[in-house]
Amino acid sequence: MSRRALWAVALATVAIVGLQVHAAPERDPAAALAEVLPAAIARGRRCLVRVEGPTGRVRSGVAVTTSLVLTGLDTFRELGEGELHALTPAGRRVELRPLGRDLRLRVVALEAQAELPGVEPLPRAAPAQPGRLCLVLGAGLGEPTATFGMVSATDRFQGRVYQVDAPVDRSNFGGPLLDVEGDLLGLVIHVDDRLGRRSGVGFAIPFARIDAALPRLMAGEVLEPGWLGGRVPRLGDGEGVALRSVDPDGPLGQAGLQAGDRIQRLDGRPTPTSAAFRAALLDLVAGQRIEVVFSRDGVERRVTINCGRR
Amino acid sequence: MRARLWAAWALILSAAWLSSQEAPRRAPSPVGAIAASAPGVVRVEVRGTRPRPDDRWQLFRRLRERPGAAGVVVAPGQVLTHASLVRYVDPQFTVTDVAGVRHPAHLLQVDDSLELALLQVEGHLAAEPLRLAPELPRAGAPVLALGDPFLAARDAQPAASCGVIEGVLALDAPEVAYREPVLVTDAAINPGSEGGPLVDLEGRVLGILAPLAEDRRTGDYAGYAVPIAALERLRAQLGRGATLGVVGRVRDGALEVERVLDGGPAAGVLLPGDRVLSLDGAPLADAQALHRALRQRAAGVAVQLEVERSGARRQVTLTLGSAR
Amino acid sequence: MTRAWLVPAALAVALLATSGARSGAEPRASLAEVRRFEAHLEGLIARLSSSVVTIGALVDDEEGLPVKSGGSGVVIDPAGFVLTNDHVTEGQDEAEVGFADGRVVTGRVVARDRQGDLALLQVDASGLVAAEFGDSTALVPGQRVLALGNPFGLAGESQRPAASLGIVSATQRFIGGSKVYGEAIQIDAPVNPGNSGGPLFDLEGRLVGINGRISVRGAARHNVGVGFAIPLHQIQLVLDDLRAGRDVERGYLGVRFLTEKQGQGVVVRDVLPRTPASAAGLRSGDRILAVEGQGLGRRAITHPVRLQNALSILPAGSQVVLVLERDGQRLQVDVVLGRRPPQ
Repeated sequence: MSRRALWAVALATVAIVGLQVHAAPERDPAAALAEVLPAAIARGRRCLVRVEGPTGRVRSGVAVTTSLVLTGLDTFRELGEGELHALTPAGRRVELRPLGRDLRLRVVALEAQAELPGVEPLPRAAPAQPGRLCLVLGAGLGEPTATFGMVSATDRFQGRVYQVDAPVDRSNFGGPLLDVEGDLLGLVIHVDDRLGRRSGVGFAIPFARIDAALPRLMAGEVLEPGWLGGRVPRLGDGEGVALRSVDPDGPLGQAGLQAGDRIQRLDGRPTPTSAAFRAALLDLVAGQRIEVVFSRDGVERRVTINCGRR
Repeated sequence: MRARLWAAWALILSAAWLSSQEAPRRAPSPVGAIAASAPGVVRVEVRGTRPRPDDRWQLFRRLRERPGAAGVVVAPGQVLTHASLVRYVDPQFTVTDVAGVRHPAHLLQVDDSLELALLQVEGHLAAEPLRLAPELPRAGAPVLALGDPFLAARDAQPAASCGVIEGVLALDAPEVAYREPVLVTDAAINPGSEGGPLVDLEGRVLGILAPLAEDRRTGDYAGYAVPIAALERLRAQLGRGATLGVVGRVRDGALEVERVLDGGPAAGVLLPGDRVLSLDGAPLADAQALHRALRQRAAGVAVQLEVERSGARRQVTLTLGSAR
Repeated sequence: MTRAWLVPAALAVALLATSGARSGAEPRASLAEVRRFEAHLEGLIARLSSSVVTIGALVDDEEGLPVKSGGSGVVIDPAGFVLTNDHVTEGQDEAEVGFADGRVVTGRVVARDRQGDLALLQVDASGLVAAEFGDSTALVPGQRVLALGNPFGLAGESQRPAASLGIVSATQRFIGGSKVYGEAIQIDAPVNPGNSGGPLFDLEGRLVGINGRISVRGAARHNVGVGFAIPLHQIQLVLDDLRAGRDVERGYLGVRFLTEKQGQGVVVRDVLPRTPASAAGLRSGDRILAVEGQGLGRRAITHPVRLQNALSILPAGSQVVLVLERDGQRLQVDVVLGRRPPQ
């Protein structure tokens, strides 16, 4: 009896253990976040730069190389006219000079006049979907801060920005939006005070969009939004966007386009809907030479135009 | 032998079973943290005759609808709250526990520079003291802020907001009196939250919530808590008290000033021959009343004195000095 | 015999080891847990968005900022029933309803619960996905919730909702006024103008409430982490009426009671004349210990706010049983709630 009973007990134990492991409640995500977030913040701080304005105002910036810092356009303007400095964690001050700016993305590039010690550009995170957890780092309170939240929407302002529910205000405008590993998702910008500070409705430019503009920003260019001089209806029908009206003096009008022409592609990007047309338009830069594919009376045509200035 | 084997075996199994049953309740989580800490959060209401003369938290007060906020039970019958709650001279406190039972309470000790006030509840407060966190949290640590924002709770059940530690740093705002780094958090803090606890995922108290502070560098409001380590410093002052910096005696319901100590708190404020009739509205009936009043207050706290000088009565404000 | 000891001993060690492994996880394992949680959120939001609508929101201006923000709503029946706040559609018989796939159709207001701040719309559209109902009575403080909707009308022509994550801050809140929120769910998930009427989901993706009110600081009309949702269990009490096109009135008893806790239950201070309470023979001094009613179950009255809550979630015409203590005697009184007089 003794051996059989023991085996019975042993089997029962295996069953109980198995059940317990199976039924073990999953650890609350907050407990896992408690371990993950501090590490992500430590990593993200390597690209966070304290930018000091001439009046002593401190705002945030993101280093994309050891000598190039990006911040938001509004944040840059808030810092005031005059000399800018990057404050390193070691307390060293390195002068920053404005380089290029992108008025479409509302981002300004600042060039450090010496290598920024301790600063390290970060890898980019995969583009976010709503629900992606995120951290916003800031330097506006003198020392690095981090707020936590989630990407709320990715199609706001015609897909220009991520909407996040992490609190943002002047302590972190211009700072990096990170994922839970500390990889770069975006750059936090100030949009409009009517949307409140720390209201849980904040915005960040997706970093992929910034990267696309980076070579021209580094070359010191000013990127203005492109203008085509044609109006499209609010909603398309899925088969190209029929122009509602064309400004005869605008780039489209000069190229001979008329109201009723259906735009199929802008700069190689298909434009089946008005939303797609607007999104493609938003990426265009004034002065950029692009090909426009359109159809008139069922016949496809192509023209090459120079985008105008809005 | 076999019986013993079975007994031992049963013991092992039941212990393992019990520990697995215990786990979910102890597991760190927002739900667990609130369940553990909410019973130790009370509502503190304050009434008094006149506002304190030196009130750095007036700005925030305008946002507050009713004179009350939260408090934390830190010892049997003892409630820790934020110093901004001590907003009146001669304050009268009422503490309401989560069961909805109201208790009168009196001030044991307040220190504006620690931003803390300790109250003694009169009568039996059923709430268990909360556990205190042993160390400062890291940036990014999940935390919960418990309190009663906008005093929306009619039954004194606190509300909780979950966030993270934004940083442990010094804020630059006129409202922030605590000179060392504070726990800045993105958990929601609003009028009515102050005095409540910031807790970790196990419900242990990390700090005491303060009114929002408008940082000079950003012009935006930051939410923060005073680290709970400051409680020990407040306790160390208990019974040590403060001083007016005068030599005199209490006679006929007044402190008769004989000499004013040079460079002391009363220098330039009181004169020999002054008769101090009351301190923060409390009459100085005898020497004990004076000692009690000074024992409750820390150095650095401003008090209002009613003074009779040359037959005329006047109110003067004086910042207490250290008793040693 | 020594061998006999070995088996259970080894198993005991294994058992303790597995229970220990659960508490202290590897950083990599923690990251995997966080990523799983994130993937769950992403999946939930993608799925739930199809049940969320924008209501009456106007088109954005050149800069992309909304000219005027409307509200939000949630599809609760594929036949086209959409739930929203009364205050979102106030004074309108129709409203534009926008779906996450970009469609915009006109919805007709079927019925309202003005005091309860609810309106039911019907739209003529196919392929609608209704939100699954959850149990709002089971919510506990600290539980995570998702708020979906159209804050500040930012969805624009995409009509896609935004999601915000938070916790249940408290349950059983009572917020009075011309709109009464009884047994309301307080949340810290950001809720802003334009979110009104939008759904609150638990993390299983089930509807638990309708976001309708926020507390604000000063003049700034935006989220500060204090939002209130109408609990689904209250909505379910009036949903049949709303679907049938009958406007709903809130129930009314007609007593004033002591609002401070005085021992057990709630003490009636006075009974107003010509009210359901006076008709049922309630007297001042009665101590109400519990309320029972259909859809309500039995609610023990542990605090005055619980009575206020229990009565406020019931529509006029509801039959309730009050369990009283009068002169040391227990008794039960049947009451049919009347209509709440306008404030």
